[in-house]
Amino acid sequence: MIVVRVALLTTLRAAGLGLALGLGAPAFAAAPAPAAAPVLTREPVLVHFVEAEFPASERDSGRGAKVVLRLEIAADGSVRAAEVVESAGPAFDEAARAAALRFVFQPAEVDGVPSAIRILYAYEFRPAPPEPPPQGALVGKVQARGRGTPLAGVAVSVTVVGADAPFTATTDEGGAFRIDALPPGSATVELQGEGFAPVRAEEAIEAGTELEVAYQIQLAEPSGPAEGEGDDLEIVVTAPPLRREVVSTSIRAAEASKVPGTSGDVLRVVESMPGVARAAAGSGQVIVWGAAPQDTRVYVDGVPVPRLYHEGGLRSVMHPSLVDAVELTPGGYGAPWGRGLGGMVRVDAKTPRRDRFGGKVAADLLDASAFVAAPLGRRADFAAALRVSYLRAWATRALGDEVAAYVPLPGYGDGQVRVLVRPSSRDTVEIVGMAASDRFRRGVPNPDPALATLDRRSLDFQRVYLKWTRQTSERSTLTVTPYVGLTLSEQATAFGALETSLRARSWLVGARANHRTRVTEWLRIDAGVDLEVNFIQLARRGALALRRGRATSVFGQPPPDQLGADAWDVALVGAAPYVEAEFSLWHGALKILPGLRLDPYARSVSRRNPPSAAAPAVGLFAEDFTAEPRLSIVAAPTDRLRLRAAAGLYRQMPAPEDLSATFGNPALSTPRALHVIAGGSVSITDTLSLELTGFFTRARDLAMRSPSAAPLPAEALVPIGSGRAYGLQAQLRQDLFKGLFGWIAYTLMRSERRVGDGPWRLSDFDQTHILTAVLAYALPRGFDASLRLRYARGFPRTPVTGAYYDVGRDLYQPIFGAQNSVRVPDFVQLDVRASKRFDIRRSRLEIYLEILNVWNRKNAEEIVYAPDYSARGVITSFPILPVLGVSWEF
Amino acid sequence: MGVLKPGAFGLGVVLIAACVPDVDVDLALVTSPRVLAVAADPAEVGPGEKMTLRALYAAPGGTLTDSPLVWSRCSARRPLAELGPVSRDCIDGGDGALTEIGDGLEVASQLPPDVCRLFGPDPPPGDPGGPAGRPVDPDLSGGYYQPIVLAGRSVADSPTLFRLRIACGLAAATQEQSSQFRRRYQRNLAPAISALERVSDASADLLPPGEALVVEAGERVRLRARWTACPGEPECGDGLCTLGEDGTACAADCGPPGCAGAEYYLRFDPDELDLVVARESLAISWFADAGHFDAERTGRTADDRTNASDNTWTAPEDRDEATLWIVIRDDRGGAAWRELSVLLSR
Repeated sequence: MIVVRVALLTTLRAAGLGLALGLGAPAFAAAPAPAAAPVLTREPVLVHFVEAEFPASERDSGRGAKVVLRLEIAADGSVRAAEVVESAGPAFDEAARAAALRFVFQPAEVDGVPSAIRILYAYEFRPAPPEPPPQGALVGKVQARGRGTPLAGVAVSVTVVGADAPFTATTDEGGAFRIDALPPGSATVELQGEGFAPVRAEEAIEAGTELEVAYQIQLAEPSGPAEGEGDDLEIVVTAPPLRREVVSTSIRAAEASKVPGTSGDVLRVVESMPGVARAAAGSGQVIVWGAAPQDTRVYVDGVPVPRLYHEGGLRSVMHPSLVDAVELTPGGYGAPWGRGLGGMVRVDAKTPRRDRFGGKVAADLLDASAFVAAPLGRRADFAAALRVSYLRAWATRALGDEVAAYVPLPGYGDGQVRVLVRPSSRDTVEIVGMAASDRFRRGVPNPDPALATLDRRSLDFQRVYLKWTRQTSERSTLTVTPYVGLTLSEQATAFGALETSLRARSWLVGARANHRTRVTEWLRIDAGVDLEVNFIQLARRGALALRRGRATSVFGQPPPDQLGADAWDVALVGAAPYVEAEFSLWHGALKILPGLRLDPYARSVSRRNPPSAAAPAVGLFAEDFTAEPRLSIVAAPTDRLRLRAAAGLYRQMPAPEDLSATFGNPALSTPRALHVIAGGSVSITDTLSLELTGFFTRARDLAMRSPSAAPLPAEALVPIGSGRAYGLQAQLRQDLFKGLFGWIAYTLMRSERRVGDGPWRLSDFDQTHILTAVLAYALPRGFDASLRLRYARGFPRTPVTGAYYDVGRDLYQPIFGAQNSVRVPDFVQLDVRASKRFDIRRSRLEIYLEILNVWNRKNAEEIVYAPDYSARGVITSFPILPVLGVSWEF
Repeated sequence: MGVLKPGAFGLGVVLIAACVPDVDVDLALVTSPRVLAVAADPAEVGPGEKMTLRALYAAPGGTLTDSPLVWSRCSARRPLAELGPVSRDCIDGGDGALTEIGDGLEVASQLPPDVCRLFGPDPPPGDPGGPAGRPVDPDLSGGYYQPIVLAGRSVADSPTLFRLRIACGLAAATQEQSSQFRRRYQRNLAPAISALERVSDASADLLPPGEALVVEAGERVRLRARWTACPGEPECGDGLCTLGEDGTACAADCGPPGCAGAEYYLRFDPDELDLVVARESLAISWFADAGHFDAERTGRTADDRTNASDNTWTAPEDRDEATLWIVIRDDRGGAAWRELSVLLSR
């Protein structure tokens, strides 16, 4: 913005009379005149001012200027000429002249007659004053935890990094507060009031936005610790995280840990989220909207990790104390994310900020864990967590080696180390290391060694990353996350001497950089790059059919006895620049988020021909490029109604294990998918909302086992598969209110596959009906109670309609009916959870009891057959199962 | 709760605290006419060569000497998308996939000359002008097989699949490796039960072929099947034409080839891409038309040098006689059997 101030200095001369009149700004100053001379009876008056354009060349100099012009004003008031008398430089001179020539005056009068006149005019340029820095606001409520009653008179103090003094407010009768004019950046919110010890929370203030929060404060119980000895971990932040995806479910860690079935493991709440199929017990799979588990990507702080749960699905791979929130996006996500055909699980981790050393230890039947956190001076924090399972150790002792050999007992462990450094007021740096390890081994002995079976799996992964966030300006933030990781996996099954195995060693190097800029009040832009490089060494041996879904098989069927082998290396390189804009119109009533992700992709496979002693390996290099447009629209026609729609193209690199010349196809093309989503939500109350979402996804170029009886070499897999999923998802959600939160989610959907132009059939991961109800309530005196009800249609399976005797192997082989034409029986389960906290001086002890499958219903997990396929039955899940756990937080 | 046998493999972690239904059946009990074994002579046949196939067709009451079995040779390759050992068309009899080769308990036939292209390591022809197709993968013993389907005359009879080992070359091997393989490889000789014994803590009594075993009703009888001990190292003059021996190197041994026990043989390892020496493992399948075996199958791994395998049969309480069948199989598709009649005293 250029502001031009104008002053007038005039020299008046009646034409041909040599009169001169000098006037001070804005008035005219007359010079002395001879008595007989014509008399200026009216001064010229500027009636139309033209603002001069501030010269672009001078804009950055920050200096002002004054140009004095001599204007020749005609008798009609127009400016006939403008002459520079005092120059301020060519640019300013010209700008002033150009403007002055367009002035219009009420003409001067000499002796009562309009006359031409000359005046001096000073045109002053002043640089635009600096805009006031954009500011944010913090608006919130403070309530008593578990009661929902507002807390009045609570002193709210916000300390923003770089600000001279804290910003303060006091809650009103309704517990509400508001603090405006907050500079953007990281802020520490401290609450002080009667009945509780001071508590703190970290918030991110963003320019031009109003951050809405709700704080739940645990008041000291009458019999609890004395005032001032409370626990500073009692604050529960229930503000919804920034929601940019059109359809997603995000849950804060504090709420998630109360859901039955999680055993306090925050990330296990994903199983109960809308759109997530009920996976087989112990599988640990995340199946979203009928997509194959491997099509849904899992990120921790934007860093891809190979799995969300440990083997067996009993625990997640991250300690709950380091989880801030978890968000599931079933589809339609924005341009910053890609390389997946299905959904996305994003875990926001945290380094808890403390003013003293603290931690938490916990133990139950499965494992024990420890977490510690401490400040490292004023500018850094440290946190670490470790978890080790001992289920296998005690179960083996309790059951005996023989029984334990039958029962699959996973062994697992994980650890995380995080250091948060704030080197300046604008920067935060988190250095993170995380690792997880899984071991699983089970064998079924048999008097005939050829029938003895062994199942062995292991997966170790490590990730090291650095997350650097810099407030580059008042309106922009830069986040850079470089990472490196190693994943070692092995799965082997042996049926007598017939072993099928797959071993992989995968190095992962990547970086994610995102620059977010609020260009104007109505436009925000995210631009960045998502770089991911994988180097994988693989070795596989055995029959072709190792993975379900590639060939029709029945659960527990012995593998084919035909063997192949291959060892190959794969390098996958993807560097995807992206940009996403958020147009916020009509004060946010309409948001349009167009995005574009460019996904150039290169692949190198060490062997394009099957292994042969007679022919050397010939490598393959392939590259691909796609543009993946994304569009999301969110409209809020009223305060309580929100409509959403999204569409986008997605792509996923072929799985490295599918790029074998023996077992797969090194030249597989990249599968692609289209997501289309539309829906809306209604806020029934401030905390109760109903959301309805319709979705349609379509995938193509999926790798399928070649249907040919004589396929070409290195074409065991061919990209002839298509998939589609469509359905409707409804969720009634109660955010935390008076200690109550929960949701009822129902998904009606269908997921289908087909080969080539063949007929559509159900996919292996279709669950037509998924209903999940979660209800949690915070009771007085530190008690919490919750329940979870789940109903899910069974997964499709291919029936066995007959059998024939394979006399050479002395085995019966199944004859299949129509693919996926029967289902595992429906699943219904009710779980309940109760916990009690004991505040002991500056620490807290929590004991919880979960009772899973309260009805003791015999839920079917899988269809199995007699060895000669003459009878069919189902494996049932666990009976009623109590789980007791304890944790101590200090 | 019950225990799944072979079919239980691959249950994975789903079994955590879960219950398996009782869908077990006693596969050793012969309750209706069924094929228990098929033996080929010779046990391994080259393209265009002749062979005789013989079935052990059993029923409650004893071995059947007449049968409605129809033998058909399969000519359809199994698509990779099918998991079973043979093309579905060969089981359904669809699309002209089966060629009838005879009926009865024994048939004589001849392998087609292109059998190694259909079911072996020779690449099948591709599209005109295009590259050849993918050869069939070998089994663990490096072998390839011609599927033979035995079906009853009634559509209600479930078919039986027999896979005849075919003598082919190697896929993915060098010329030198192929040459060495042709020179050293000895075709399979079907194993044989050299002796059947009734075992007690103190002694082992030989059960001669054709003689009935007399036991008391409900008695538990421990049986032992023995087979020939094959030499670990080939030795010319031992009377056995084994690994690396041929008519030139050891004419004294190489009249009838092989050893009717756990033979050493040469195979091409797809992992190492080299020739390796392997030893057969042997499995014993135990069948009876009454009573109950402790195990339906027993056996010895390749690295177990024991030349016998034991099992215990519990005699029925309500029968006067019973028939037992003991079938021995090796890794390379060879099979043989013994029948044992049992008289039950009360």
